[in-house]
Amino acid sequence: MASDITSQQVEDKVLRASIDRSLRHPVMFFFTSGAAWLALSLILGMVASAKSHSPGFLGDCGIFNYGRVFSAHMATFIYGWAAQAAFGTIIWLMARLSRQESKKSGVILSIGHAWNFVISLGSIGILLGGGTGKPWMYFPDWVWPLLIVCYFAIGIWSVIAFRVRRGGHVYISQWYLMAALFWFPWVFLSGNVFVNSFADAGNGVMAAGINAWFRSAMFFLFFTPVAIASAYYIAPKVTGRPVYSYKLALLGFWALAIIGPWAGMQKVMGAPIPVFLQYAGAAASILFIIPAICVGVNVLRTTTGKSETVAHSPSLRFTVAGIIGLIATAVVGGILSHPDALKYTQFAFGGTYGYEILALYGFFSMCMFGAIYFIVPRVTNREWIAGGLIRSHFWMSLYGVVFIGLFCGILGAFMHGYSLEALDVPGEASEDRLLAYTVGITVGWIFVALANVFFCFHLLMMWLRLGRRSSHPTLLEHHEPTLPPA
Amino acid sequence: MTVKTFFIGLIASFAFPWLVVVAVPFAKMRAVEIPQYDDVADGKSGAYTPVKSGRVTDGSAVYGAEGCAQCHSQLARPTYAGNDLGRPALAGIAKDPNLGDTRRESNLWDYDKEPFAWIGETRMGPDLSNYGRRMEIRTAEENAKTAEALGVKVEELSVAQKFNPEMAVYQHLYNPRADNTKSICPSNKCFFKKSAVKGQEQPNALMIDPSSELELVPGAEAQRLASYLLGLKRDGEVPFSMNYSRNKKKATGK
Amino acid sequence: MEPNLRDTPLRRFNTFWWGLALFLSFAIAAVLVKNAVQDNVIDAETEKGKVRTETYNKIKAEQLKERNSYSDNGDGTVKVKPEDVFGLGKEMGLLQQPSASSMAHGKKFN
Repeated sequence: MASDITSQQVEDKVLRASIDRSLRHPVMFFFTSGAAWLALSLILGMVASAKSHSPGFLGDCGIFNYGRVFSAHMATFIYGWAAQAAFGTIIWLMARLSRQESKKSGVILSIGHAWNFVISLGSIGILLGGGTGKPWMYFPDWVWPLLIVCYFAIGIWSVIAFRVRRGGHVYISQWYLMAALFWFPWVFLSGNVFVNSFADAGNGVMAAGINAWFRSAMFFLFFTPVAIASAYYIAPKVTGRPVYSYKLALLGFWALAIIGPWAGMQKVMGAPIPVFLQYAGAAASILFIIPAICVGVNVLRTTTGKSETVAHSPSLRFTVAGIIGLIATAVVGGILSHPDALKYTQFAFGGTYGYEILALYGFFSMCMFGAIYFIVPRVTNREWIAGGLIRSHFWMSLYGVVFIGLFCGILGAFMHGYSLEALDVPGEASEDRLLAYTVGITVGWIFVALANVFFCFHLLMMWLRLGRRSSHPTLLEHHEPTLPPA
Repeated sequence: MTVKTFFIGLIASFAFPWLVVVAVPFAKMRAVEIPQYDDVADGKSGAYTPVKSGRVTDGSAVYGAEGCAQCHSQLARPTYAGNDLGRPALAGIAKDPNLGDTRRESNLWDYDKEPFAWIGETRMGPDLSNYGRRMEIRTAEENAKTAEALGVKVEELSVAQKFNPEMAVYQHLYNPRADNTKSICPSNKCFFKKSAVKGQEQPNALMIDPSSELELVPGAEAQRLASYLLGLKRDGEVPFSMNYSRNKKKATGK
Repeated sequence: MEPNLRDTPLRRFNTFWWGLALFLSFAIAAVLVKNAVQDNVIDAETEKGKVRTETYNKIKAEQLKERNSYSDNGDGTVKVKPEDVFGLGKEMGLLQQPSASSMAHGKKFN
């Protein structure tokens, strides 16, 4: 009631509003350009997937060759969509939690444009045959130094915001964000330096091993903490309850910090690099279940008993789905990384790709959608136009990613992998087995792409300030009274 | 948790695995001692420096840029990691008429001169570690067949009558579905240039159609790639100290 | 709103540069690690060349021993003892002053 609002609360509201206003342009830019890259990435993904079962699709032009289109699909997904969604979330969340208005919005926005320009050129370079082919380092060689410079100019302000934060308790999301802000350059820069700058000074097989470490570390040590930070913010905020256990939150954080950097080299199991590297990678990938369970239990227990809120709130619904995706990723990743399973899944179709999509879309992107559905109304001062668009986005995404990740990723990995390993199955027969799974992935992507048509359209409307002016947030279900009026 | 403990913890928890898993292995692997043949076990001495044919570094770059590693692996895994040694013609030739069983796991020197080893993502297509060897065998078989059909000895076949593995690779790069209709390998038609036949055909050109006066000349990338692929022979001999085959015998029998 | 005492330009400046330094720390460490291992990097060409170079040097040394002594003038010429160059000729009796032959020649001149 109005009389209960204290002057402190009014000040807080004013501060929050000023923070949101100061960050409106860079945050909206990152989210909308990220969504556009997601759309492009999904189109490339559908083309790549179609090419994997119908090579004649779109003719014989070199630009659409599977190798190039697949590389462009992953590069745009990771650096176009995922990185920018992460940046938008990081800068907003750190500003809010540190209660600091951003004074460098202009710089961040300009650098955001530079980031987009660089990856546009890089993606065209890949399609024209200038890519490197190295997984997660697909762009031509000149791209990564520019990306890391852009990153400095985006991320450092959030570090400063944390440092000059108004006094008080540091919230768990801030620890995750700070960690992500430092882990990204440590992994990205040292990974690229070892694999690319020192390409002629190192051993080729070890370069492949470090590349495998790089992929895993980018996921575990950048995308994962950003998504977790977002979940730890949204779940309590929307339900109005405190996080279930702060000790568990810290345990989960340190478990991730200790386990994460070891993982990755199980991808090159059997290669002539020291065996302990391969097994350490496998062990760490399996142990990732520990931080995942910590976060999962914490976030899901925070929302226990609030299933109505989860159902109604777009941001909470996507976040909870994302956290379930985190647990699925950890379990699936653990199964696929076990050395006995690796025999089958290492080179199986979907053994890596299915897992990566589950991780990047089923977990990370779902959490990012949750963040975007939460943040955009606050920075634009408008509400989402239609709950129906959000619902379509949700269900089609869920269906698509579960289909791809679990069905094609796991089943495909083991079925195809078995035929590759069985000594009495000739090569042609294992190639035949692929068909079901490659077609399945195409179908899965079509669902995800359709989901994101709704998302992109909706986000574009918000960016154009065509959202609803309302004091009530857009919810996903009408609240039907379950009890008759007394 | 204070900010100070946070940073100490973060740096320590990252630096230790980074050193152990990334930095020190990188440093050590770039200075690996080259194995030496042993007089007693191998019957000869000297360094193990297998000679590689073809354009390894150039070709490797084209192979990567085209995303070949997305569908083809290049790794014969030891038995702890997979059954590659038992798969037909993956790790070598099981019953080579001259050399016997040449199958072996991949070793570090198989990827020499390649700045990035294309171990590969999936096996949507066959493993290519010994593609060059398989083409060698195919060349011998095709020549034998032609010789038999013509009623001459293989040595008496003219160059034009002999099977040309390089042309076979170009044919595959141009249209993989010509040999195998179910292949999902992309056509790399952009690597070839259609040009009019001027006088005699170019020696490495694919003929589109004898009646039209056009031929397909492989461009630089196609040549590099074909040279690289035909050089993929990773079943050569290794020093006794690196030989993990069950049937290995010391050269001097001691 | 109470003033935020932590938010000073100095603190921001410090954080900016320390932050940047920390961002770069592992890249710098990577370069240091690579440079720490320089001596042992052997490549196959050098290794293959070792046996060849050894043989070449051995043969060259033996040849030099058999060759007679000379001193290097430093300007591309060498100083040699005449008998080393002409020794064989001397043995064959080819180095004497020409003397009238005692053999009659076949042709008679008027």
